[in-house]
Amino acid sequence: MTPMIDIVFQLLIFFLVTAQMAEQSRAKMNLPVEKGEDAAEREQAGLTINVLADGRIVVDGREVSLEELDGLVDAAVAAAGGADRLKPLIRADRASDAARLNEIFGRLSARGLAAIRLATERSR
Amino acid sequence: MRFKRKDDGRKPELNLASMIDATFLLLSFFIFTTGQGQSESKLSPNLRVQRGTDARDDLEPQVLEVLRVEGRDVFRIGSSDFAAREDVLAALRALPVEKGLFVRVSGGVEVGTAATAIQCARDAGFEAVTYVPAR
Repeated sequence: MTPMIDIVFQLLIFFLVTAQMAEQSRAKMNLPVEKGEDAAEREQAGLTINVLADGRIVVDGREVSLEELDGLVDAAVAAAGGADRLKPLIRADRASDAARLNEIFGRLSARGLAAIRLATERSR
Repeated sequence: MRFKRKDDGRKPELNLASMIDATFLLLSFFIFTTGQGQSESKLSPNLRVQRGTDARDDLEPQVLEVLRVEGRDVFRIGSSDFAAREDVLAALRALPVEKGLFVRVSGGVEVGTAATAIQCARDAGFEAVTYVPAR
């Protein structure tokens, strides 16, 4: 029985740790409740920008300023091989002020990004 | 001083069975979960919008304004204001879709309302929906 108990405990610890990590890596927010577009039209974003209800911007689990966001966008554009190839996704809390969204849109547009997407969630 | 090593005839052995069990279990777990996970960008449906540009042809796109009036979010097309989603959708359906639509969103409006405006434009059949941040 000893090895089996060892394995069971090891797996238990593994699941506890990974479950917590998965929880932390995703910014918690309430997206606008809309049906969005067909699943077939969803594409890989390359850059996902989270806008929390209080206006804070989070990218890859890290809070960034607008100036830092510019650098991240430039890097993503370079990685994608051009501004026309990058289709960033903005995940903005439905209660957040559109003024913040406008600022981000303005900065993305200034970098020549043509297609920007706004994330939604379906009603449960 | 002499140390005598006892030889009781037992050979040292390593039982690998449990380690192999655990390895296979973890291997199967990773194989199953790798395909299941979705990246953050694909977790939710999304609305496509284009960046604001100057119209270069004769077809002037119509404008759907989203602004805050007297403490509530309203949709404005021309001189008509709408508060309900159904009303703005009906008004958009009456417009020619080939001209495209500008969605101009003012600061102070909730993002949820802006998303509703874009969704209504899509539902009304507009293929070219351009998000214009209001100044």
